[in-house]
Amino acid sequence: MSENPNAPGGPTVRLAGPARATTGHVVSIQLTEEQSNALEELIGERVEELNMMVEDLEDLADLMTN
Amino acid sequence: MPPYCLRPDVRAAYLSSELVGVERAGLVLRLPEPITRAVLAGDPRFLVGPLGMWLAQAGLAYHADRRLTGSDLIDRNQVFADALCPGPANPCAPGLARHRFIVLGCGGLGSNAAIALAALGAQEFVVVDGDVIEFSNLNRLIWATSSDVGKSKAFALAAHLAQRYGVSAVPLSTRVSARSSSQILREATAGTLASTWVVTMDESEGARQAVRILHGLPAVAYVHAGYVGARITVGPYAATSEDPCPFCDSAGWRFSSPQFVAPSAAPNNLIAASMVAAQLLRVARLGPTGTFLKAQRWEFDLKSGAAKTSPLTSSGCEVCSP
Repeated sequence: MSENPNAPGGPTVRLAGPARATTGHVVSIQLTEEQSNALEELIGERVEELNMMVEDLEDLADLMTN
Repeated sequence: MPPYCLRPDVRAAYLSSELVGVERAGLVLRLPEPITRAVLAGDPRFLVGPLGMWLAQAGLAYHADRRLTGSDLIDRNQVFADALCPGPANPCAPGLARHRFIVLGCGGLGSNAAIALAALGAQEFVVVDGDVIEFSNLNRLIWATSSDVGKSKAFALAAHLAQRYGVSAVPLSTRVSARSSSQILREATAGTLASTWVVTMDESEGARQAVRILHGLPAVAYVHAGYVGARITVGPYAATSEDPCPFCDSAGWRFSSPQFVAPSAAPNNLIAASMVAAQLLRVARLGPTGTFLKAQRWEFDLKSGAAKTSPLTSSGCEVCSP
């Protein structure tokens, strides 16, 4: 077992598809200066507000786990 | 150290082959892939400020000052078990209470067969297995939780049966080998209840020996289930010595699909365990003629997904023609 259980290569969930499975909403989060800098390093553009889609899987048929 | 830590049961979420975000307990947070990777890697820069606070409020992270306990984690096996069997069983098949079920092998097949029998109303069990539970077993020991890792399979199963179904379950943490099975079988047959046997251990010589002995005992019922090559086989119910044992016939299949190693997966095990329990329930209520597995075996082909029953033959069977 790896030290970080979340690390890539660890447990995953596979979504069945975007259309049938979920209900969701967008959450906007103001990033800190340090986070904006970090994101600029990662994606090459300056982002100060992060818009995230949050979804509730409605039933077990919506996902396949491994 | 950032004020928040990602919970260890947060998982990477994929759509097709694309990493689209993280998931915990059915809540999916979609993020750009680079950010997802950074969050999953525990990059402390993303676990601070409003983002860290939001992750904590959504249940994906926890405050670093707080000691995380087992009850904070989503135990999917426990959730499944609670949904499946919310409380002690209400005995609904009184015939089962007249039998003591002796389960040789408490892996994915045997343990789930025992649970099915207990849920149907069986009251007495002897469960035998010399192995301990490993993390890699939890995908098919769906009654076990991460807190059971390292425990004896037999003791953990007995505790589960007693706690959830209120039955008497005696554990024997003994490896069922060709050498020990004879002694176990003879000792365990003492008592007033009819002993009915579920032979599901993965050690083939021990299984063969157990079936050979059981086959020679008058009026003793057993059912044998196991993976053989690309198939799962269940059968027979043997109340009389006329029933041939399928095991040696089955052994021939080991070489019929040499490239195929059947996965011991929970769904396959549950299908076979259901077949075991269903046949023993029919026998308990209707007697030996109640099962269609008398003189037949049930085969579930894992390649095609097809199941069928076929007559047994004694030709080449070491039990019937030693």
